[in-house]
Amino acid sequence: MVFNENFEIELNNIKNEALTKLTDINKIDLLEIWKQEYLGRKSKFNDLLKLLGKIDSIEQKKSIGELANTIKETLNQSYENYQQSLSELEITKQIETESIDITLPGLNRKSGHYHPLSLICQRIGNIFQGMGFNQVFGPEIETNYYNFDALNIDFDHPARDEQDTFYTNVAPHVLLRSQTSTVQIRAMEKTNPPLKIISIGRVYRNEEINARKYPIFHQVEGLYVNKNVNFGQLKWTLQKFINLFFERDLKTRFRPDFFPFTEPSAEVDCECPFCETQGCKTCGYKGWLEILGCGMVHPNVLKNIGPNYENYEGFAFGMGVERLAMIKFGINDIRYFYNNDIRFIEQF
Amino acid sequence: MKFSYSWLNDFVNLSNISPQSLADKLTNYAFEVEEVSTYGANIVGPIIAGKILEINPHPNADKIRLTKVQISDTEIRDIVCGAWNIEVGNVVPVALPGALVLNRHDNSVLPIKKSKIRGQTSDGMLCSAAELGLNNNDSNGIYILDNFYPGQNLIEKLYLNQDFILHIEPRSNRPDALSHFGMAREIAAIYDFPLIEPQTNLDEFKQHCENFLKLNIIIENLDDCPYFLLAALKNFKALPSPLKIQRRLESIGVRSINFIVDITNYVLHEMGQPMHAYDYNKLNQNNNFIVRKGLPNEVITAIDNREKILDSTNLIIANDSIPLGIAGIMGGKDSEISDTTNTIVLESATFNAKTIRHSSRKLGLSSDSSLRFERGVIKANNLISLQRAIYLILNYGLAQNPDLKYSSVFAQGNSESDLVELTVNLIKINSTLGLALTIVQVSNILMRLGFKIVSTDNNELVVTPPNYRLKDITSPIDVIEEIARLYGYENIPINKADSIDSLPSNTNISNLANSVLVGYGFNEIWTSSLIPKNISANSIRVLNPISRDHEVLRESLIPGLIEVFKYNLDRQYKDIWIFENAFTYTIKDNNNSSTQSLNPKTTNVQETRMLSALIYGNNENSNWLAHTKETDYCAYFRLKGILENVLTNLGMDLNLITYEIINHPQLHPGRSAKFAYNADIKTDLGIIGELHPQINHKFNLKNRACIFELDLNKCEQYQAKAKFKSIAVTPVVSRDITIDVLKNILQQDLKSAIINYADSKLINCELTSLYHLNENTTSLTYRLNFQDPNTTLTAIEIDSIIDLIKLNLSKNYQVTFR
Ligand SMILES: [Zn+2]
Repeated sequence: MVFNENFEIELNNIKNEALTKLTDINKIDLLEIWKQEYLGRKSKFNDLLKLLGKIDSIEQKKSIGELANTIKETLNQSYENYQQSLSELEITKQIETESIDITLPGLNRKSGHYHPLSLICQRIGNIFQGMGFNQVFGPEIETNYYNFDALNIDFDHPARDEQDTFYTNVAPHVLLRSQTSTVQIRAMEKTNPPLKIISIGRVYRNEEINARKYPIFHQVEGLYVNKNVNFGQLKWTLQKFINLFFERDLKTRFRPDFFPFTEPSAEVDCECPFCETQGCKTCGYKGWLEILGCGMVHPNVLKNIGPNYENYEGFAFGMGVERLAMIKFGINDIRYFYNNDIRFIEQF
Repeated sequence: MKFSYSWLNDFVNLSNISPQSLADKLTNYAFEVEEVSTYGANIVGPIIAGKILEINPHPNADKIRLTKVQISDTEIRDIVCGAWNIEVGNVVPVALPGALVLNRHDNSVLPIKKSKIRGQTSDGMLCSAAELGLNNNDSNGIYILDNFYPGQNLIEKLYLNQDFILHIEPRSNRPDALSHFGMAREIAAIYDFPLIEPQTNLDEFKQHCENFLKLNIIIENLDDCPYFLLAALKNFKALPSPLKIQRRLESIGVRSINFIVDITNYVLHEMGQPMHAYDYNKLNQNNNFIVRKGLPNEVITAIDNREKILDSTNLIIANDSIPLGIAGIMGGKDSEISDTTNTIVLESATFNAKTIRHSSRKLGLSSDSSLRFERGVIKANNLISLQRAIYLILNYGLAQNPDLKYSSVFAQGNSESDLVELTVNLIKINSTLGLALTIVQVSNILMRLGFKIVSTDNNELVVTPPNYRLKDITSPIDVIEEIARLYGYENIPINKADSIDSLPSNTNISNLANSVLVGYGFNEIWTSSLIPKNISANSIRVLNPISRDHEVLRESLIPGLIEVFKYNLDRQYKDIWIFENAFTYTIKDNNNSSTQSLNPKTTNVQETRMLSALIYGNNENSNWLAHTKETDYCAYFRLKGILENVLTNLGMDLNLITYEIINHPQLHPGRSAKFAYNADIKTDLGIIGELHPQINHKFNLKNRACIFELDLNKCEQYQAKAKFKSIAVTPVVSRDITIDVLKNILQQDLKSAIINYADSKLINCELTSLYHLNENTTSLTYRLNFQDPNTTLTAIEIDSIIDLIKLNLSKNYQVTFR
């Protein structure tokens, strides 16, 4: 019996010793050593339990066994509690030591910028695509046929003069297109009516460089051909475009004009968005800005395409991308677009 | 072009229309008014001619005197005057109380009041020319009037009223509106006001008509000159140009020359018909006027005193063999009107627009006349303009030249124009404009514009355009345009346009490439496609360049990129990352060009969309963590990495791309390559390389710059469409393999050999380290990742693949493994 009592006392001593030691532990690795010492395979506790077999009485065996299990559970529980609180403590410490000045600058690359003309072309393209216009493209190096003949521009028209158009050494009829209206013809030749297209592209005019003019610039050309297309629809389309482009409702003014490939033709002014027709520097104190030219497609142009365009009507319009960009962004010199000063491009 | 408001008022009553509202109206009806300015000072009456009856000293002052001035049959005024050029009996301008004149010191408005000057009453003011806003030389003294009598209203007689000048953009298709009468006709149509015809009826001067000579007109070619008129006047003695005519011409910027020339200029601006006057006495008197082409080296001194050498491009008027003038452009010095001219020959003609344009270009000489002939004068206008000139000469000249005689008109050619009948369909009018006009409305509009309605039925009108609109109205659509214009564009209701089916849109490879580069921190640039002439013989040249800097079409974006690079370097930019996405231009195939060029619809030019980028320096923001900067050596690989990402984003398989060293004038010969796509056939895609050390040196660069250029058209051709592959769940196994190779073996060859020898279980192969062992040997480590989507690969399986790779590598290359 003494052996039994000793056994119980011994077990409780180990338990008390272990729990006392535990109170001094403040690090995870020390806790792991403690675990080895009291709960590991080679722990005092296990050594003691190996002696359990020497007890004869089944009852005693059972009661000591139960005690041993209770103690083991208590120690395991304590271990887990300590582990939990110790790791929390360590994270708290890490947080305390690792705080930074969150106002220091971010580490980044400079962001790149699109050229302002890119942005304007995308904007124009998106607006017209929203109205059901398909975007198409045509070549910049063109023929007399597409640049003039097909557009009802007489052989003798002053626009054909060398003073306005660049001719090339490729062949006498090959020139740098002076307008994107060429794409109208190319699109109609390829497609049966109805069709509704825009084309944005580069054009060339033989002009001296100054703040307003550059021999290279870009145009947007629009064309809608269908049965019963009328001037009122042209007005709707362009009014809509101007409102969407300038992001506000602006008054427009359709003035009669003359272009060989449209009839009736109009020049469209919009209310100056900077001064609301009061007059300012941007609009040259006129209160109105000349935005684009347009009109009903001339029957001769349709007739030239072929019989499939008979009985159809259409409207067409054209506008300068640089001019729209200059108005939109308040740029006063067209040369900025082609100097490509990074301080300029980075503003957009 | 300048138009005088008061002059327009001669032909259409504008008393209820202000100059500004007229300008706004014209702007909305096809004639853009750029500006409305004033002419003359704002002088207001009563300003009366007064006769000086007495001049007496002022009792309290030495420098001023007292005058008594008769201003009507019954009324005499006391007026104090400070000027000393007046004498008793002079007729002078008198501004009465209530008048506004100009302050001669500062040109401000000077209101006239009854006042006391040093104790003496002054009931008005005697005026100098300057005080009335007149540009007389003698501006210091009082304006002494000739041929005036007391009581005459000088506001009317001296044309002192302020006028308004409308600056109207001339329309190339409307030669009929290049004159005051023509513009007034347009205004009358717009407002639906009656038109007042100019006075051209010579009946009242019938007794001055006399056939005192006969003129012969010979026209060599009626195409150049369809109609030619002459008339003569004799017994002319020089006299001052009428004040009204001088003022009107001056108001539109035409200098007064002399009586006859001023009248011809007046008719030009009033009727739109250029006129010319010859001094008959200076001709060789055989009375032959020949309209012919110039002869080689024929010479004429024009009235601008310059000698012109003529040739067959120029049309001339000759007196027998002697050139008198350059037809339609400028007269000759030798037959110019002078103070002694006694007999005058007036010319009014129609010349071919093209002929005059070529003649004018050839001589580099243009005038108010040539400007109008180039746009086309109206034949029907020739005779009435000539009559108008004679009318004005007699009207203003007879008082001082009572013996003046005029001849009948001598004509050659044909004054008839072919009248066109145009049939316009009402349904077409309404469908084009989106309106519902009736036949009556349409007829009314057309009649206002001078059209004749030949016939109408329910749906159709047959009309004839007026003879001054034969040039621009030739088809029914021209008539519809005129209806729209007069109806008013602002009155056409807005209709929503239908949407129609979309065309298939091609994926925009350009936008994709741009967005990758912008994301990398590149700034987009747009450069000129016309660049300076270069050495390339194939480049497309512009035959009429504006300058040497814009002479050929670029075949590459690189020159533009380097220019913009330089531009920004010069502006102290240290880190430059730029790109351009644009076209280059080349002639397609020289062999076929001769046959191709015959086709008027083709150009034989290839336009290729290229993407080109340049990096210089670092585009990271200043790095306060002070990481070590990369070495120059890395610029090439840095850009190559970006290029590879662009290609991947465009759907290109990087494993099919090979690089090959090249020689390019702008690139470092040891650090530049062209790269190609090896799909079915090998296709060059572009080039990449470091800027040539010579350029580096020239630009004094501190870092290395690197460039690539990529053919986007080709990328579009080979672009793979994204396609989903199911994601394997089996583990990926990695193995490193380290190979020592001779330096001259290209890494790209080694890598593709590895990929070739491995089977499909190799999913990627990446170079993870490179180490130069010695001058000749490099050690490369590749990480190979293996995966079989169906089973987990065993170590044995992978070992056997690796062994196979090693075996094949050692067979083909001089390699050792570690
Ligand atoms: Zn404004």
